[in-house]
Amino acid sequence: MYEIRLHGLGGEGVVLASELLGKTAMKQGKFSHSFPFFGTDIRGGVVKAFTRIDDKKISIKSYIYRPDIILLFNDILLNDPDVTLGASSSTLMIVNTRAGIDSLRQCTAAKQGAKVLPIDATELGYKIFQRPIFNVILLGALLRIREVVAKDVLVKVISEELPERVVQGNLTALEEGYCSMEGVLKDEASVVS
Amino acid sequence: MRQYLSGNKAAAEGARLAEVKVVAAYPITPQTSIVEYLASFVANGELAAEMIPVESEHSAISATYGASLTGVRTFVASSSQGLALMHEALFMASGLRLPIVMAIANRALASPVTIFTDHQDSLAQRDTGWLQFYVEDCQEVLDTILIAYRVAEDCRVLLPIMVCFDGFYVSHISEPVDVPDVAQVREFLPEFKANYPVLDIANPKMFNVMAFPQFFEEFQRDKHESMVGSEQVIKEAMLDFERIFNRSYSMIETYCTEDADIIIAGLGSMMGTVRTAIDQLRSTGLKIGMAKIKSFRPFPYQDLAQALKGAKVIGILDRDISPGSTGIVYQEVLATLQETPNKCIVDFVLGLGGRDVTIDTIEKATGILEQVLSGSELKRRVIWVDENREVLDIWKVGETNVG
Repeated sequence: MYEIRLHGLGGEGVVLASELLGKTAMKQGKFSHSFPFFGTDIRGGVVKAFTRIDDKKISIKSYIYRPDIILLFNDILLNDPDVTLGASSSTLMIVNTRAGIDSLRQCTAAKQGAKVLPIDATELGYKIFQRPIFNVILLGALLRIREVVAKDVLVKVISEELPERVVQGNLTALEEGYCSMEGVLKDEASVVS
Repeated sequence: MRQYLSGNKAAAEGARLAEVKVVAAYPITPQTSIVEYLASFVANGELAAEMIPVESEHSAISATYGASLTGVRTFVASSSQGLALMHEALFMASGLRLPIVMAIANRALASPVTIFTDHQDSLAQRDTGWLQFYVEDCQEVLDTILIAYRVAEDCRVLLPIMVCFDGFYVSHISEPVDVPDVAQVREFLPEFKANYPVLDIANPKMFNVMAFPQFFEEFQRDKHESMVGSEQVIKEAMLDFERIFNRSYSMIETYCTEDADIIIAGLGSMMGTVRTAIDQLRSTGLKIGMAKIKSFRPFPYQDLAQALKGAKVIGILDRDISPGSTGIVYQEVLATLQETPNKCIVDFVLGLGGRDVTIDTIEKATGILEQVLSGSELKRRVIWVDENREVLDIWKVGETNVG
């Protein structure tokens, strides 16, 4: 089973990103689920979401405590204990940040052994959407490093599920996010078959 | 067709497929999106129903039972304080023998304020004369709503039903759900035709009239006996459901109970986590199983006793508490002792107000059950599995936050 935890602020598309992953996995014939956790805050409040992907039916219904992947949408939460909870040497963490890979070595998750990779997704988002929209960019970056779902199936899900006016932008976002991680070594043995 | 649906969407799809004619509901977290989906179905013409916008849950249930009195299929949904506000009208619905189905996204009751899940809200309505089904995942939400209509409308039952599922853990989780087509659903659940007098302005009648002491108790007895007798109807409906949709359900669902020394029983989504925990515990050689109580009203005493028969120690998971007594499910299970004497039954309270029930939680409870199995005596009647007294230590809280 693959366990992915997404963290960010309300309005950044955390919940949608987690659902896109789950839905794509389902379209690939896998079992998956995704669910959010948020309080009574609206935009700007802390949000987390969980996605699990497996080859068999998933019965567990609790939060993710030992994530294979952490997707962090906002580096304001970089060392938040909730974000770094359970990060270990088997965890890949992708962070939307302007900070370079070297400065991230000092963050809590890295100290706990996680492989932490930066992407300036906000900047890319401004380029594509003229607004800070970056959830699908982060998914693209993730898929370049670890193919938790098939990219072409995610393309199909985005085309079919998102409102027509945002489809093209998000397909570009997926590709841009994917390409931005060129040069970063792709994980081996990471593909969910 | 397989779709990726949340529990709330699955509930709305269930109502759409049942082709309900009237929906009246007032939004409350975590149930809100059920109402939103149904409103959009009606607006888009996907559901030919009257959507009655109301100003409170009390009005929602009142409008629903008014509509139901006219002999049409009705649907309503709520949570927590909203359900509590419906309380007095819930008795009306069951007393009037109206086959209403209500989806409940379980949420704890204030105070303190919370939007997160436990079973206190629906269990507090235990004695209102509604059947109560508790479900574990999104597929089961959709399927159980269809089964609920079939049972509620059966002339041997004619009682309203609550289909309860955990807020967020089911209401907001998205999962693959097989959505049946309308033709299949119509075979299982034909159009509702009331075979009793209904509200009709062309032919006025009085409903909900006064019953004097020589009659009142008889109405209650009849309601009780119909509820007890509904067990048979539920089983028939579940068998027929399996025949048509190839998915099977039972009032008590068991997992690995055949050779189990320890059995864990409880309601709702946490039983999915228990299932995963059992796989892990079994791999260490522990003979453990679980019994998920799907039907809480009527309470299937015989079936539960049968499931618990071989166990030496039984742990009850209560996502609720009757303060000053014990967990509510525990009390029900104790009532099966008539059929299962000489068993040790332990009450665990856990997961209140959305506290996450984890594999660790289940393993902690199992550790206590193992001690009981090897002869230790329990010092307390109720065990709060994940208690953390520090956070409510009034002096420490005062020092940090008040100064």
